[in-house]
Amino acid sequence: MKTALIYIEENLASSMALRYTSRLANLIDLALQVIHVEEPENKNHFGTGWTRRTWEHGIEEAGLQEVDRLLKTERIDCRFLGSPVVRVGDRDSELLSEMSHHPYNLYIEGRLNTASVRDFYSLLGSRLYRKMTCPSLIVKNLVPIDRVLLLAAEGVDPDQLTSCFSRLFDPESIPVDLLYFHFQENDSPVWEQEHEMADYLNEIITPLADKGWNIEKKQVVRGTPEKVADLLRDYGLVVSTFPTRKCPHYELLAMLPNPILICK
Amino acid sequence: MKMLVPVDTNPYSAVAARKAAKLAINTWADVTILGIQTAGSAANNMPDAALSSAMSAYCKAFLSNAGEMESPYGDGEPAPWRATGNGVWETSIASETAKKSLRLMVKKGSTLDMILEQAAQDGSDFIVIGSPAKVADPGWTGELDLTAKVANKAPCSVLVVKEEKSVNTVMGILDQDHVSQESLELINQMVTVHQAELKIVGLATAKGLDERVEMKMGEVLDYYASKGVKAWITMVKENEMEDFAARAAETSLVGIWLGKKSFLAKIFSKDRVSQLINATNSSVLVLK
Amino acid sequence: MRGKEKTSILLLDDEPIVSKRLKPSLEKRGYEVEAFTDGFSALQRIKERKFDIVVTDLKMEGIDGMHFLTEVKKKFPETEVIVITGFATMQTAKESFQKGVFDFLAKPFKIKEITEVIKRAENRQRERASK
Repeated sequence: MKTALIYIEENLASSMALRYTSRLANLIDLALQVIHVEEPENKNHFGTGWTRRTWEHGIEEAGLQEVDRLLKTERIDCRFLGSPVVRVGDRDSELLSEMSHHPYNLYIEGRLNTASVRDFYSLLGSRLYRKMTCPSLIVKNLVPIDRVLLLAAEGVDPDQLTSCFSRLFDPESIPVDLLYFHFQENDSPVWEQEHEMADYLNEIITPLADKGWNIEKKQVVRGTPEKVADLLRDYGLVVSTFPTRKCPHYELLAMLPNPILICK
Repeated sequence: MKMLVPVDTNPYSAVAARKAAKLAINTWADVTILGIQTAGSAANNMPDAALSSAMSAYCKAFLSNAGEMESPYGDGEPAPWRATGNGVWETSIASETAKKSLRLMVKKGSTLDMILEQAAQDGSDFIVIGSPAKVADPGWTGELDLTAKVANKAPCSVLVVKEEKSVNTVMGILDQDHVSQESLELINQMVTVHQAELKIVGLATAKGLDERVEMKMGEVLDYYASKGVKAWITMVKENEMEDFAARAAETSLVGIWLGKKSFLAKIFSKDRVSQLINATNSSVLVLK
Repeated sequence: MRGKEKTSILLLDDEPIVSKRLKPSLEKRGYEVEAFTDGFSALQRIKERKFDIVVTDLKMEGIDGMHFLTEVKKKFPETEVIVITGFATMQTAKESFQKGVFDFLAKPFKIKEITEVIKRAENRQRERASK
């Protein structure tokens, strides 16, 4: 059984994340821990000692009600590790603290897909994503998970990609394709010969084959992140590694409307 | 579904008629092709010859577009025009095989008023109208920004057709929480006819996405999910909207849900619809 | 149709809002209406009794409207079936007519439009009955 920490708020992004996770649970033996963080900086707080504790308790209660409402609305068919956890404090710190106490296999949250890459950059540039040690699933849209794409590019470590992916998914649980993305400034995407990247691709294909995976399509594409993102819309999940610097691969991840699993 | 297709003799009306024919033949809509004759033009006792001839040509698109299949409008020719009122002439396809009505009508008067009047009289569910490349470009005699005015004032949804393009995505932009059942159904038909994907775009202010808009997006998503239609969600900030719409229009049919509280008015500063129509070089669907 | 009895209509659409809008409006016009949002119950009902007119959606969860209309026409050929659909295509329209539907309406439509179609269907049944 894999354990996942899912962050929710009472909004559309969380609603999609819950539903998507419910679909994911058909592929992965998953148990969920729901968490929500109320950030006092956003509230008009006051006082110290008992007054402050009472005030914080009130916020926590309100947060719990928010989470309950969403869970009741969504009524997802998933196994839960325990009751939802509501914390008061800085979101990143509280989530990192929860993860340090309980080593989850996966972190999940919903984020509405946006037209601006800056939103995605600031999400992945946050302390939470930089410090997190487990893979993270960012649900940008609610789509059926009927095919997975392993997305490789310059800077993507094949070992990290394969080991993280195979730790979460059982062999042959879902059809998997592999794509190597090259940046190209303009024009329509161009499909290139697979053998040009054969050595690199084999670093992904071979260890997965050893674990019982059969990669169906292996492709190499050259294009702009925007156009390539558009080509990949049919995938129910795109799996790649955490981008450490601004690069076309990072931009492509930002532009993808699909749910993304970021390996660490 | 009842469809109204206002036309004149300009090339954009031929484009609009072809688009309307494609939609009508798939939805088996009852269609009225409406030509407007301004008060000063033509003889009093017959429709203007150029308009009448253009309308006959547009009519053929409805009869021939069904390919190998039988057109719902039959296979006849329009009967001779007959006066049905003061400055009103009508004809229709006289065909025994017709299952739906295709009516041609010429009215004399102000273009905008006549279109709105006919839409109200027919109880139209949908208006398809051609537009010059820019709304302020010449066209639609006697009315500046006519298509934008129709889109704003019509009691039903309006498709403003600019040029023929293949559509792979139907996009509905939402910035307020009024979404009618009719508009949801119309989007369904657009997705089906174009075999396109659906994208629901939430328009956010600097403060983010309004809670009511977000909730409505969720409801719209649920609606389409229940219908088995795959819908993508995207959020766009208001300062990015014009660029986004212009880029999206390359392959998408851009639709906006117009509600009373729409703040598209602020984004498309002079006039929201004409600005959006100007910002994109393809068709715009104004959803009511 | 039977003498002065009310014309009976079975309404099937999995969207509750459609029945909610149509049922009271048709009842106000003197029709006897039974509305269903799931095809299996509607299918069960047509095994129990005959309706003069059936108004059905085509694409529904659980049951295909085309199958439903086929069943209706098989059991009661004289029942007039009106198809309403949110996913109209030339093919579905053609197939519907091949199966003997009275009319095919794409959504959206106004209540006036469907009541006019229902009236025409009623008239056809009257003409047939008087022959």
